[in-house]
Amino acid sequence: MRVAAEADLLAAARRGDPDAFSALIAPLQGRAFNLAFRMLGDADEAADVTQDALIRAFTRLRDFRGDASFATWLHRIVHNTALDALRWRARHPADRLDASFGDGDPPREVAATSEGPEDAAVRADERRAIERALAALTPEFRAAVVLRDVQGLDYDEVAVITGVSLGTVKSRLHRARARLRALLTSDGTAGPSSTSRVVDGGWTS
Amino acid sequence: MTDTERELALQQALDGELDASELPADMQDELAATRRVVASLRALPAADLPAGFEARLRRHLHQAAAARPARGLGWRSPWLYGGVAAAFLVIAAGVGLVAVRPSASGAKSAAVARIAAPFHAPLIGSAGSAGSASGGAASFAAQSAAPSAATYAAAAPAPAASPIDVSQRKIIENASITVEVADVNAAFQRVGDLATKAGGYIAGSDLSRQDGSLHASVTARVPSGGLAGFTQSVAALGTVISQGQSSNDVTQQYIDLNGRLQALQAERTAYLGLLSKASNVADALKVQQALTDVEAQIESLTTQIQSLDRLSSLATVNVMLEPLSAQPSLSGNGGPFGKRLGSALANSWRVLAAAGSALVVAVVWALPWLVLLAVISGALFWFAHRRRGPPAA
Repeated sequence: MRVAAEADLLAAARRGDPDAFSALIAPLQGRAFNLAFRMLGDADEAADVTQDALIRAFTRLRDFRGDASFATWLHRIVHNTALDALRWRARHPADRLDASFGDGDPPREVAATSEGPEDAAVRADERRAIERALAALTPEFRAAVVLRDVQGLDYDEVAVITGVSLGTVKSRLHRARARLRALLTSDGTAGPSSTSRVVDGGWTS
Repeated sequence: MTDTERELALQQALDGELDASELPADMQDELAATRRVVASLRALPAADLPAGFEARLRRHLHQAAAARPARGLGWRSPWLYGGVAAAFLVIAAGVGLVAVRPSASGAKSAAVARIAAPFHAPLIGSAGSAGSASGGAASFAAQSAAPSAATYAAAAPAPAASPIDVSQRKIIENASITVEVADVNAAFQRVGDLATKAGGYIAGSDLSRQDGSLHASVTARVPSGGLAGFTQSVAALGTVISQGQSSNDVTQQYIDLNGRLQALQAERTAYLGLLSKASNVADALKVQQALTDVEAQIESLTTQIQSLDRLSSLATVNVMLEPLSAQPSLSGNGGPFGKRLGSALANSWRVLAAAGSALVVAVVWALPWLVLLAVISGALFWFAHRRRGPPAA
């Protein structure tokens, strides 16, 4: 039933019905936005990139042949658009006044904070540390860990989305995790004792 | 254990495909640290979509949907770019043609096309598969043939338009005609008779044997008035393969020469008067010298004028007489079977080679246009597909 509904929506969206497309992407746009957000580190930019990618997907829906799932295809477009944005950012550093990663307003978080205020502070510090470590990775490595570890996708899906082979995905993952490990350890965030250093912003991207 | 094996083991342990206890002791720390990294990555909270995101997206999607019909079904099709580029080229070529020949009337264009057609028909016929390229070749040929055809056309009606000038105008006419005849020798004699009958003569002739058959070339001089009749009767001797005519109006040159002659004659009269008045030998010798120079010039001019008179009073006609070419017939009603087969094959091969070379010529002719077409198509494609820069932060 659900599959049939998706096929109907897809057919209508292919004919150019924007409402059908909206319905089709409704369950996916949150994940798409999070992929862009984790790759770019900036909520506003991620929103722009996600919107751009979704409109691009709508106008290029004819190119979707059903080889992969629609979600994977959509993620691929978001991933590529985010990479384009990162490359564009690398070429135009002067155009971004707030170029440092992870600055700006943090997005509203879904995680319910039923824990105590101290625990919450520690968790927030941990989160900032891992976000800064992610920012230090190259875009390709970051994409691999975001897709696999943050979003929990299969290796196969990651390979399709990033457009590289399975072996490359695993190799990138291994090296990205090793790099994150090194960054977090050298930063001393493994234990709560050094939390204050991280809050001060021990290193920048 | 190599690095690759360690990497694989670590990954399998992380994915739960390998029990952690199976890893060597020195990798336990690495595994634990990596697990912590993966755990904190997984713990990263999912961010909510910014407020108003869905409404904005919906608006943009409606805009994109509204823009879709204009982009059309095949907007990405390379044929469309090619078509647009071709249309552009055709319009540009049309504008160029009109700009170059603003006076070209419909009737004249048709006449020009008819004149050009026999020469280019084989090319167009055999290169039919080249499509628009051969059509372009036809119009190009018509255009290139225009100036010569126009002068040819202008020469003919001129005397009719101004009959008074005919007797005074000095026009040197040249004609050439190639005729295929059954009996070259008989036709050769007949051309001589025809020239005499037209009031002219044979200025030169040549009869030679090539490839086992006779070929004749005759240069006849006939009065201008009898030129048309003479060429017609020569054409009647056989089948005309080619025929051409050109004329050179030397009236202005003739008038100039006569003017200079009169001036020189006046000069001579003056010198003769001086000579009779010369009081000493030295003066007489000087005048005599000048007189000799003037008379030499008068002589030269008189010769030139006479030459023009002769040339313009008699037209020169080059007659080429060719034997009937042995037409290899497909039905092959003569010769042994093997020979017929051979000639059929040779004939077919000749046609194929001609068609092939014509096709190559057509393609080469079209090449610059195709390159131009490709460049314009590429530019259009690039323009339509150029990347929008990511939105500024």
